[in-house]
Amino acid sequence: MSNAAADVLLALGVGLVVLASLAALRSRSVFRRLHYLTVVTSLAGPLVAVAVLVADGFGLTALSVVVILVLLAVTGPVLSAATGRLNAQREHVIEVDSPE
Amino acid sequence: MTPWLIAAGVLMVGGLVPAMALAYRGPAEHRLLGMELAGATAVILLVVLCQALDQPGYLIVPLVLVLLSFAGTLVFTRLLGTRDE
Repeated sequence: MSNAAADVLLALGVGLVVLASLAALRSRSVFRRLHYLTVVTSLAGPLVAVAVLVADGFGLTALSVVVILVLLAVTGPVLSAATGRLNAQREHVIEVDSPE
Repeated sequence: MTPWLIAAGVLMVGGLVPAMALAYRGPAEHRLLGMELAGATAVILLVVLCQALDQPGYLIVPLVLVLLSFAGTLVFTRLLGTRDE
């Protein structure tokens, strides 16, 4: 039963990564592509972490996986903000030096 | 073949290849985004591979990758932002 649940969670996570990557390839705007990156870091990563937790139970391996994927989920929005700001600078939406 | 191994194969073909195609062409900020997407996909792929091969000791690789890709991408955003002006 727990194996089936882990497989379903894994399939959901992997399916989201594939759909987000293909959608990012199809999209033309950086800002739209950033949304697809967020799907990978904030949704697919935690789903895979929960799949490992369900498959292995609580232990050192599951804890390591959770730490890695929580780090991915925490750093993802920071990188999205930095990339969005870079794109806004290059498209002259904001000043290069702002905010100082 | 376990579901984890199949998932790793699907991630490689369906996740990494489009991300690398994105990183290969277009303006710098589009390529940077492709690199970010490839990094995030690679972290998930390595975690799934560790689980598939039952080698939890290899989890140090995605842990290092997630930290390095974070720092590396921030350096790229800084350098690309000041280059043209």
